[in-house]
Amino acid sequence: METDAKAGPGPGSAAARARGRLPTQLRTLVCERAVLDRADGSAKWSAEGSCVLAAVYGPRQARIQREDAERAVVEVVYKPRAGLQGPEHKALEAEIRGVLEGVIPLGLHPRTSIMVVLQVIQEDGSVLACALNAAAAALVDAGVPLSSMFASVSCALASEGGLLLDPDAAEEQAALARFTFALPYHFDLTTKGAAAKAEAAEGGGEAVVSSAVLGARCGGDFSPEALLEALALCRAGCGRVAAFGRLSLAKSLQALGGQ
Amino acid sequence: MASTSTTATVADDVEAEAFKRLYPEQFFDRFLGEGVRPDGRPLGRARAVTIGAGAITSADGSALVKVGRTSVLAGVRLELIRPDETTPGQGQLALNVELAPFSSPDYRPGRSATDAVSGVVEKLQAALLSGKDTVLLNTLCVAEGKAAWKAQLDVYVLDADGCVTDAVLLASIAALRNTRLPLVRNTKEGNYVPARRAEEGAAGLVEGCPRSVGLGRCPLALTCCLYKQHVLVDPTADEERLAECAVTVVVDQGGRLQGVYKAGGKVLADAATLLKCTEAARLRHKELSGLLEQSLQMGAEAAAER
Amino acid sequence: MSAAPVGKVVGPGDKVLDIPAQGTLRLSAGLTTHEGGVVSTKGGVLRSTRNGQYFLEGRQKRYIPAEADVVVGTVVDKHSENFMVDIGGPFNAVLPQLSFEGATRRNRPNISSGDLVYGRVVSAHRDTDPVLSCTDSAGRAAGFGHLKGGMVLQVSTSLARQLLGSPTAPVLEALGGGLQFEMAVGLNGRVWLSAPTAATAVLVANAIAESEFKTPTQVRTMVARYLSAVG
Repeated sequence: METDAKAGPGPGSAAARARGRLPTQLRTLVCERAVLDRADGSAKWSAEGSCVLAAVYGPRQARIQREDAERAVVEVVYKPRAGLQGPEHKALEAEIRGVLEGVIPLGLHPRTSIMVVLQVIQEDGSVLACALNAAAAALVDAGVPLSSMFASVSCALASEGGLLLDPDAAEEQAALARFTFALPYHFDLTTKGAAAKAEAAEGGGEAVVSSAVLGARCGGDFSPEALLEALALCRAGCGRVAAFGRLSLAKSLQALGGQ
Repeated sequence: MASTSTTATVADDVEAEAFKRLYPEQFFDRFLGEGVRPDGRPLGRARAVTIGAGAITSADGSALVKVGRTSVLAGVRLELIRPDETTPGQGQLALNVELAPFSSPDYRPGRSATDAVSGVVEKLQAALLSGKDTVLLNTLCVAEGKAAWKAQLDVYVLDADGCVTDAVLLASIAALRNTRLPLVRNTKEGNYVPARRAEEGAAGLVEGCPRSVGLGRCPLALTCCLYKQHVLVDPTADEERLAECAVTVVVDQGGRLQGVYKAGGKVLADAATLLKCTEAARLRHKELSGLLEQSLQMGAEAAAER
Repeated sequence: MSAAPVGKVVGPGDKVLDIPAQGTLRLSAGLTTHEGGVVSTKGGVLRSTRNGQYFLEGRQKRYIPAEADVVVGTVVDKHSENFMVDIGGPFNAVLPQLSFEGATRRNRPNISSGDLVYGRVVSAHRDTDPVLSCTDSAGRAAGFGHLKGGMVLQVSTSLARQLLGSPTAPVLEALGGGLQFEMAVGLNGRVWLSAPTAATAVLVANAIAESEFKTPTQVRTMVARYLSAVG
């Protein structure tokens, strides 16, 4: 299930990154699906040093206190790699829940609950993005209906002024500002859409990444211009994450005879 | 005649309230169609703010902030401690945010109360402490390695009617700026104790004591909620609940952004929307800093009189 | 009319087809319409049946009840008028006590908590509990009803669909040639098996479970190996 998601040479030349990575280069992505036997859907998403395991349970009957007569309730549990949950993890749970509520058509399954459990296995920067991508893959694995897929990518504003895509922990620590965005994407498989794109491209074409965000989390010291630049860079990164995600899905469904 | 007209208006009120409960979206859309919101504000206007710095005389620093109906009370209590070995030249700031049970109809005692404010606590922490340039902890140091101030900032949300994060951050900044650090005296045994008013000018006072908490930046927040294609600035609790999608922007006095958080995926936010929110936040910062200075001035004068 | 990308892997939110100006388009599990196009809501391989119905074949464990599905359920509760049956979906299904062949108010079926039943889903609306029936639309048993003895095997909903589909699944063809057993497949991913000896039942269960990701030739080799091992 390994796929290398390297980009072409990016603009600008920030200080040399670990292992000669370019500023607009993502780390190697690995996605394993259906890793847990008991869960309705599961996925393990890793980006070299960061790894998150996501499990999805549902739609199943919600607890009486939590059930909503008109829509499904999304519950997120975020477990850090070490130690107990603190307020920052509760805040992350609320954010991830917000993003998922945007893509799951909740009216389809009233009075049910969809629970997503995220366990951080390794932490080396861009953990929130990794967790969101793992949650997306696990939801697809569980067969929960989604109105759109989404991808998430982080970037950091280095002290010298350049933007670094998919920062590791050291780069995040040293950065002036950190940005994480979740963007919806889809593929256009109609013949009209595929006509222009080469059939040779794996996965049936390029991902169409929306220019509007589902969720954003930015902190530090930055200007609005930097915010928009970071958004544009993350959008390009999401395109590559989307392509990787589609390849990984195709590989996992190979046994069913698809291509 | 007068009595029949009053009963007619009472019945109208009941009908309007019922319509609001049964069909909240249509109720709201009716107003948005006219370009206003249920409380009469245009879409881009934030609510009026009152800041009462020094509201609690028994605290070392305090501020009561009202943004529309949202009311937040922040208090600072000081304590002299021995600084941590790893940071001998720095004091400490501890944060605590609590939701009062009467603040909102959604309040449930126990764990859900702390969960409800976890987002607010996290943003407050990020705004005040993570950049290390907002609250300058080295200004809390009295004698390196031996004595420093620990400020305990307690924030109580008395009425949660939307944009709690904004009010909490404003109250925290006001309370910290309202805090007067007492002079510190070195006793014969070598302990450091705060000097009481009467002892000012006596022997044993530590030289160069800090008198106020140093703040490098002044970050203030503004929340806007996204409802269908509209951007509503400074929503009330009803509007927040309906929209389920909010963008919080934290700016400092130079117009630099300190944080942008979008929660809730119901509506997507493109670059133009994000810029709109940052602009609104910048304008709000200018408006609020003027009020803040005024209120701190009044608070300082009142404290001097006592 | 644009050709549908049958056999291609699609993910949620993908635009699969444009809705043609005229004609009919039959869509099934995992596909909906949105803004003039057909959009998928799940991940899977796009397939079409012989009569042109498009559906997504994916590997899903959780069962969502749909009308006219046949299911194997476990009775969990007995009320005065109906049974509550666990069919593996978000809610337990309701099986009226009179929905059995020849059942009357005085002559109720003798089924208690823990028993297995094979029924069909009569109604599955998202706001209510699903309702089952152990008779076909004419009131006859038609193979539905209480399943006595045997064992239940849990499989994914896609494998269950394969087992029920036509042409006959290769694993069933291969097994049927050499062994005698009774089977009831529920689209909720539960397969009931009953054989004269426990060994046969276990063999059949293992063969079915292993056959999910194998090609027909691999399946035939595997079954031949099992049968020869048993002797």
